[in-house]
Amino acid sequence: MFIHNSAPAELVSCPPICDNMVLQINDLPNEVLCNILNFLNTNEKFLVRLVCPRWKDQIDENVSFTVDIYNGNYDLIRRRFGTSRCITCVYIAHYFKEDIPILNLASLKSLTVGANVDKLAVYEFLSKAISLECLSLWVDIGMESPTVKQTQTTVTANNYPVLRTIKKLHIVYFYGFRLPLSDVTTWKEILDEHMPNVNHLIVEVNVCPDSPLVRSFDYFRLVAGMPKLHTLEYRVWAHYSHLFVLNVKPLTPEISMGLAKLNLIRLEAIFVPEDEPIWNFILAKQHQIQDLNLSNLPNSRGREGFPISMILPVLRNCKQSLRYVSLEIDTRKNGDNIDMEMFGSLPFLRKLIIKAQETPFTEPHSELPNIQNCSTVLSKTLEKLSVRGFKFCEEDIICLIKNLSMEDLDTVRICPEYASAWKSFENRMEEMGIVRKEIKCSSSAMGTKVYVGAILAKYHKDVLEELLERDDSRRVKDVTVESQSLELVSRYM
Amino acid sequence: MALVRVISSDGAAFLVSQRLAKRSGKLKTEIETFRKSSDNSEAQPEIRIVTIRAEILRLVLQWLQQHQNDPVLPANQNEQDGRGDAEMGQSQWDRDFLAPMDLGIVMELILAANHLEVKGLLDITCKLVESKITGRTVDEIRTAFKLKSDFKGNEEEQTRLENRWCVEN
Repeated sequence: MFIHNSAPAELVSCPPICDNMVLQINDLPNEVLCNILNFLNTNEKFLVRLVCPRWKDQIDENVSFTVDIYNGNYDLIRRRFGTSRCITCVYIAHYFKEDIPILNLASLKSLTVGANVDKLAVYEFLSKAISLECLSLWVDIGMESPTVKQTQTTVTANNYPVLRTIKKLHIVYFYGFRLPLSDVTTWKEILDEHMPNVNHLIVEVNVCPDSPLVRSFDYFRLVAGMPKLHTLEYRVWAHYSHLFVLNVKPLTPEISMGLAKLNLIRLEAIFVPEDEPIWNFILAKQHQIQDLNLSNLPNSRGREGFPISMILPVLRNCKQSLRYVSLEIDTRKNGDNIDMEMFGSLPFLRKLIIKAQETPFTEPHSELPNIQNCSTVLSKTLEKLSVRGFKFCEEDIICLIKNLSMEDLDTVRICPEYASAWKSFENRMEEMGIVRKEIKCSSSAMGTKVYVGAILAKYHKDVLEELLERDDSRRVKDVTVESQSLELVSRYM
Repeated sequence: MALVRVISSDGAAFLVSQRLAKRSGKLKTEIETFRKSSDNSEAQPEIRIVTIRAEILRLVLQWLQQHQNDPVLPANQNEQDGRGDAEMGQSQWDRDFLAPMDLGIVMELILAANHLEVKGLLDITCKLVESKITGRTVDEIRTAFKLKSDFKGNEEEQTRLENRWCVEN
């Protein structure tokens, strides 16, 4: 619609410059060549040093490396990376104690520090990494001498200029039993004094139900006084999700102001109570929310979940931005039936996951919730659809499948019990030429992933066989298959 | 709808909406420069791309058009975050788009995407070339890309020795 090739005759005067000359890989400028080589894994990067002198130089000078440091792999690191001038990413494993190997850290962009790493090592790294942008800290809050303290001494002890370059701070708490309650306050000091340019804060939590963190889940306090912050992410590791209640109280004017300035609030696996003021900020951020990940399962203290109708304003306000929607529905609540029509209005939806389940804290309930309006047409951009634990009839499933656009879809799971629904899905795929298409794509060298594995492997053994027999099957890195077909795959991989 | 004329090295003119053109960093800058230097705000900008021929330019514009509604990723997204999106960006359409191209065309497309600053296209084309390198031996790579091992003297042997150090065991 937008392109009109109007090539008027008088303009076609200069001859094509690349008439018979075919461009070769070494005609590309260094930055572009490196862009390609950067996609290789570490071993392959070393291997291609042997291809030609130019590649060797580029690998040594400009191709970025990720270095994984753990106790005992020291010599190897010195040998491999001692001369590299472009180490961009370093992971230091938990419990690392040796002296840090001599590495050139001038290009370091991202540093991940495991829990209980010797503080002198962290000190050394931070003082050398003059262009560090992203700092990830794993904090083990279940240890005798909390690393929280250690890390913080390191960070606060001196005012390194390096910390001014940090834009993204990622804190992961795990194994929590006794998180010192002063922690948020300490972090606030560190951020205020030493990391004034952080604009993206991620707090990730994996703690046990007894943790005081459940009660003092107030990292939103950090938002106040971080002038550059535009993204705040809050993640809880999934298996504890139903225990987490978001609680921003008291909501001071400073926190409110901080929240209002954010571009993106991302909450993963966190329960947001209905009366929680944060909703106002979520709802106010039109067109901004990409992920909606909510659960209405009640928590351990029997607090009730919110009604599903709560999410309607989010779906309405953020329909241009929503890409992923994941909902957990409490099976006890008969009122919370899911109406597929809610999702029909999301034009860019990529993943839709709806799960109805029982919680450990409630009596099992025999009645499954209903799903309505399965004939709703969902977005053409959908890649994954998963609907589980509802009272289905086969017609519902057939309806769901009928209205999927198969173009970009890579995962649909259907239980084998629903035989005729499956049949209908197969027919649809055949109609659309999907089977043929997928094989074609895997041979076009882009097919490092076979998404259709799970579907095809089980029911189209012949298709899988054809797929794996191709010359380039060794480059197929990731195949998802159901157990029945494992044997088949192992024959070829 | 505001339009812009984009002219290839071999003189073919493409009339493109400015909204679409601005998804290329280079064209965006050019359009803005034109706006500043032109008195008439209604004038249609004309941009000559002397390094890209019509066939390639058409492919870039076609890709841009297909992806015109993709969210523009914020520049501060680092690799870890970007990876998921890059993979998702590889839609069936992209795969079909790239499938019929021979390596020479892909190289030209890479250069064009780089010059016009179209990150998404640069990523998928580079990834395509990478997939032809990965999993192959050094000799296979040389054959596939018609590369000569123009190491001087014992440089190759030296590198081979160095590489022995590098292999993880």
